[in-house]
Amino acid sequence: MIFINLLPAELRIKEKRKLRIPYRPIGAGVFFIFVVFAIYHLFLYVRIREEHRTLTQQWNAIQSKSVQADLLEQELGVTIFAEVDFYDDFVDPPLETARVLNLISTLIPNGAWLTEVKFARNKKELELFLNGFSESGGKSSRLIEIQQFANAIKDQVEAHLGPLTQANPNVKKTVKTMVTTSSQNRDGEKGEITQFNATIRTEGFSETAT
Amino acid sequence: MNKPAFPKVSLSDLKLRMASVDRRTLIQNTIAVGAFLLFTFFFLLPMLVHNHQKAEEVNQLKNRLTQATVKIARIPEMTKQKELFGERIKQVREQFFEPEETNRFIEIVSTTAGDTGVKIKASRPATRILELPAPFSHAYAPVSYEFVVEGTYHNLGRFINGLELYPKNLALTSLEIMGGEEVPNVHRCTFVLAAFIKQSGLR
Repeated sequence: MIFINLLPAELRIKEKRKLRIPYRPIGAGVFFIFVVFAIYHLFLYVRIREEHRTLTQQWNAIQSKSVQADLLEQELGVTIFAEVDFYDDFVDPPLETARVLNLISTLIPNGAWLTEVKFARNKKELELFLNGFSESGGKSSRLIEIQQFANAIKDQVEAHLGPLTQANPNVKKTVKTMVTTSSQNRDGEKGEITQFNATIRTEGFSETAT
Repeated sequence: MNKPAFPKVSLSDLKLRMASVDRRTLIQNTIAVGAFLLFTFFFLLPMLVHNHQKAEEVNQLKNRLTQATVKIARIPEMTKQKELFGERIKQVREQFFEPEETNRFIEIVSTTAGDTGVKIKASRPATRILELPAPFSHAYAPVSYEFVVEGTYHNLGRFINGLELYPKNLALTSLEIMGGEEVPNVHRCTFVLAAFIKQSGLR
């Protein structure tokens, strides 16, 4: 049988494709994801509580010792180190002046003599200035000896310097050496005489010294 | 091609639809949604919040434990340091001049000079005042003097050593030795020496 729609086109019922949304599978999927999410967090909950309990037990076991360590650290840092640093800076410096004078007399090369020695300290900073003369010993050997003399003093000074702060005993001041020399002929005598200036100072001396 | 038509939902349609739905199905669905919401709001969300908080606490505990373990391992070293520095502090504290001993300062220098063969040529209060940091500035006061002495290098060394080793707190802040021009080997030494005096009423 053939059906013929005789209605004008604008009055005809248009058939539109109905949207079929698969509510059930989507719902089931979302529910599944939700369940997995909830189970995963339940698992996390159990695990974190267990870890928390274990760590709390460990903490309780060492808490008293930790308090003891904190008190000791505070006592050292706030009072003891500060006081020792004060003594090192002002009252009882680790590098005595007499030791510096002794180093100079021990290390000075033969044929050299000093006309001026200056030593100044400002807290942990120090400067040693040496002015002297050296008889010529042939070519450049004197210059080498003078440089070695200054370097040896620098090394000894560095070795005897106290730490920057007792809280960190491995950090020490850097000591620098500067040597200048000038040679001239002796009046009426053979050979040359070399005048030298050696400055041995900690790196921060010029900024802090007054 | 025809466009897909989305179902139009209005309140009246919803009422009509609800009225047409089977009551049993409606109650079942309501219970399921209710259970779902109860589970979400009374179990899942509190658990998420709890997990978040506990995870933070666990991290804090781990950090605290690590730090505490390191500190505890340092206890023997710190105790040793405390004993070592404690001895030095005790010794240095005992060596400060008492206020009534201030007058002995010049006497000590003079005696040491005499013992080591050094001549004191001049002395005067130092122009540069040593500034001590707080809180030590409240406990101790420095008294600085500038001295000019003469002697051989060896004697000067002994003299300085004698002052620095004197069983009272004396510190040499600057020193200058000039070559002996008038008498060979006799040098002129200018130095500033500070004595540290306990402030009365403190410590």
